[in-house]
Amino acid sequence: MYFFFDDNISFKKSGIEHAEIKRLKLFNEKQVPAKIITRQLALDLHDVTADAGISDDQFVNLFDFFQDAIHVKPRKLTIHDLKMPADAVLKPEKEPTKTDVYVGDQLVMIVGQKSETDDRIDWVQYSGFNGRPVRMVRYDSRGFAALEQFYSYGTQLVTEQILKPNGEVAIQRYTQPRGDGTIETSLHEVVNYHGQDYDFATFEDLTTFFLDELNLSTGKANVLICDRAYELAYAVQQMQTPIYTVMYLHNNHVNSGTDHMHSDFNYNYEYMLENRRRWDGIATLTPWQYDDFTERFGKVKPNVYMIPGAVTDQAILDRPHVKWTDRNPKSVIMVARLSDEKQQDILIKAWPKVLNAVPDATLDFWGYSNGDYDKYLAKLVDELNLNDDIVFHDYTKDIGAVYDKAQLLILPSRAEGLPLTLVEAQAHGLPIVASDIKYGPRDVVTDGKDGFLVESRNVDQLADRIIDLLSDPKKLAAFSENAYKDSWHYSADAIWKDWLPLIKDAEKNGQIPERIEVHA
Amino acid sequence: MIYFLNQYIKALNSSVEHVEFKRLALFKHERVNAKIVTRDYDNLGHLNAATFGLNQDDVLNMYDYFQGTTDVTEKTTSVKTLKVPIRYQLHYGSDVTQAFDGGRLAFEIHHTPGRVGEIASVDHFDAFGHVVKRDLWDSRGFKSATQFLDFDGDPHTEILYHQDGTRALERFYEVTDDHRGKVLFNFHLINYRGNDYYFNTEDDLFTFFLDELNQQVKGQNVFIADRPVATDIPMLHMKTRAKKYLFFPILHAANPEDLVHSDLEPSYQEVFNHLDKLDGLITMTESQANQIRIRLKHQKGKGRNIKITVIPGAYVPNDRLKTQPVSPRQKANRVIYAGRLGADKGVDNLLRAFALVVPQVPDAVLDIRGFGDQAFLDSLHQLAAQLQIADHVELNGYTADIDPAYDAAKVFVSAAHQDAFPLAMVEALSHGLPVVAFDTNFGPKQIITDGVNGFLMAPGDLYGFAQQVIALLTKGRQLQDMGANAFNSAKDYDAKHIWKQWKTTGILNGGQRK
Repeated sequence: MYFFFDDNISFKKSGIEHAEIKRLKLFNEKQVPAKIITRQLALDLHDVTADAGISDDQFVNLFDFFQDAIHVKPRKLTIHDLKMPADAVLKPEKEPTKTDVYVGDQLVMIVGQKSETDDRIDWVQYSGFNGRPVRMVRYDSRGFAALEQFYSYGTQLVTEQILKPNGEVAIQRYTQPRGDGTIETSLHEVVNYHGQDYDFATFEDLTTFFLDELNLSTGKANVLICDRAYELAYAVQQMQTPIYTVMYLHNNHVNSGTDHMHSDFNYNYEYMLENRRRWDGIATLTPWQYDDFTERFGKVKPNVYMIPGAVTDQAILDRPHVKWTDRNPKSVIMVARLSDEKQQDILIKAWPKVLNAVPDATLDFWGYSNGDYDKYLAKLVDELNLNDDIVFHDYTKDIGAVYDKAQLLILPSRAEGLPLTLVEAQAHGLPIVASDIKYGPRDVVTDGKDGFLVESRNVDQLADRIIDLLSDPKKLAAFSENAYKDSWHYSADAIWKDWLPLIKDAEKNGQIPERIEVHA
Repeated sequence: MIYFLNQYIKALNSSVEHVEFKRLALFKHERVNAKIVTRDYDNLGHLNAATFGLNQDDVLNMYDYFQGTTDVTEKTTSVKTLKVPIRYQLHYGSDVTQAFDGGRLAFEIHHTPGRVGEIASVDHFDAFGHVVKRDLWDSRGFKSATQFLDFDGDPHTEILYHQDGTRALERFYEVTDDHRGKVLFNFHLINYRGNDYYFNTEDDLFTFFLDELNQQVKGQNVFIADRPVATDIPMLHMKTRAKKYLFFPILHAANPEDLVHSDLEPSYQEVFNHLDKLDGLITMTESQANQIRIRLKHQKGKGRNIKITVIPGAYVPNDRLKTQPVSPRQKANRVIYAGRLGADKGVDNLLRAFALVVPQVPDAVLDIRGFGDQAFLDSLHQLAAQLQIADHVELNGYTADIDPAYDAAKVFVSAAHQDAFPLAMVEALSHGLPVVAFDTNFGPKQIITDGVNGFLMAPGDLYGFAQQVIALLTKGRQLQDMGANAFNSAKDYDAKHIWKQWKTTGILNGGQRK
């Protein structure tokens, strides 16, 4: 079994989650058993996985594992299914999602539903006679009470219980103030797991326990592909049971874009790289990254692989090409999180020059914002008087339609691993102008054939290349056809070849984990 | 069924409990169904009850009732019961066994007092070394509750389980308005007979419980409220019909010297306004009954004509009366006092009087039995040192089985200022010990015939008190004769006599209340 290990997965996914989902699909096509595993508690998790097309058979969350809730048939649970105290009277609140439950003149419960239109129970708050909340019960979107929170004296959340669908307690979590007074989770206890209770001082320790138990539960030699280093490396390194562990680098692993031999490590990977000898393998995303990495660290201990994180669906590759006339003329897009390292600001600064040369060019940004970066960009747009020319859109699930309507994609990033947006855009026949940074753009874009590579942060050069293409529609259309052709580099069969060395090594080194503790 | 209502049975009990123990023994002897009902949650409650010879049939606890654990097959527990995962290293101890996860103390298993290696509670420690959770184990061998602790280490939430581990009740704590304490303020009774119930006070829950008990157990039920406030008020609030009696284990008024006119003891103020809801009052002495009758004449309302019955709190089983007391000639010069150790019991005066005895009887020893708060015990030690009788005074604490102490002593002494009925005096008589006591309210006059089975002294006459003790310790014949009289007088408290009193209450007739 291959486990793809992530911290969390939510409706708004970053490239890492998209890469995992594509990878899962690839493994399914090649009939190699694989699962995505996550560790954060999220009560709408199965809405997210259902939405992403991940089946419950291929997904394990840490809490689900201990809650015996990996497979739960969703059922709609509304206020009418809730057990009410004897003689209860229901009174809707002004806010339409809330209903008060009275016994006599005493408020004993408040029931909150998901939204005005979704009457599934979201939470139930229980109060003492003086109105103070004593207990909050939150519901899993599949229709069972999953998280119970206890407040000391109505104000401070102190204790939590995570419940199984049958109401039994699976995990208890406790908070306490540290020496400096800040309050944090100070204990996790797995309750009655095979008849035994396990206390964990940290979430990392619980995560390791989960990984070991999951590993044991399959009874096979397993492989763990870790997709988040900063959050997850420690827990993987502490595992006691044999498993072939591979860290997947999703970005440039060093800070410098030029000096790969001496640069400090990217903070996300620093701890893991210092501890790299504890890992069986490291997967790089592109040949350039593979060369840089192996030149500095060697090819073994750990074994180094080159496996692009992007896979293009055969269905997309087989689609008829979008008619050039069906695309919005001179429509330029950028698809990426709004963030400092994606450098949307460079593109915005280049846009007045583009408009000067190509007055009918349009620019659309797609993606959710990291922190307040959207505000910074909005201010910049305002200062440059571009409010009528540039439009920001939030994250969209159906990005394929966006690609099919545009004529040019820009990615002016500072650092990358292998940007999915480039591979996706190319598969949709979009020419690309991208900064020639480590790593990715050079591996996707063939300069002068299906796009242009430009110097990072060079506003003039970026503007010139965009003007060059937009003012020559024939060239742009030709680049589009080349893009369609080049996108076959990321077909499932092409990428699977890159997986084979890892799979061979894992098979050679794999051991079936043995339980050292005999459960009573 | 007849229920004696109390709040708890502790390891150390007051006369309220001891009166109930004796009463229950009498009812069992007479083959009349009766139980002691307790209100408080206590995972060691059954262990405590067992030290007084009481079993699950004798004591019915409210939480046991709701937890479905009134009748449990007892099991012994040990660390093995917990199935501790092998990642924890155990450091065994007789009181506490600790479980370490590497260098971190993960949890502590507290062993049951007086039992070897059994589990009373398990404390779980967090990353910062605070106890955040405590599991409480019933002394009958199952996990019965979990407490979640706040940042001060006090419980903020408690979950009480059925025996199968499902939830029976939740209890929540609130900080008092003066911020000094934390009190239970919210109770959820879960899925009791298919319904959930919410209560704001333990009194409300107790009332609900008493009504349930009354409805679930067929036939005429009788409730006798023994513990003031905790049991009488909830009994008054019952919605269902039953026979309800108020028993006075203590004095009813604030001033023992003027029980007719002084303010009511605060514990009784509420219940005296609702006497019409009761079927009768029970006192342990005729004098207290008279004082209450006089007081009620001045009271308005329907309850003023309530029936008052007198039943001594003592009961001497026939077994004891068939056992000849140990001959005083075989005993050392030991003098005994047994009772709660508080200022109202005049224990300080007892020491002062005894200081007059020691010079005349150099080997005299005063054996003091009972519990009191530490500050008071310290003051007694200090006083004994000042009086230079420290070597002659033994503060031996509370013991469930006090018979050997009586059998080793020659005389029982008490300098109490007040009492509702000094149980220990009758116990002493039944072991053939003459009693020297002050003639205070209530009891000594009823129990002691001056010069026959003891001496009744004017309150405060320490010199006279000491002289009588000296006489009994030094005049062998007088001690022997009065000891024989004492033993004979204990027969007034045998089953035949006391049961006759119970029959006059009407409790046993099973009639409906008017």
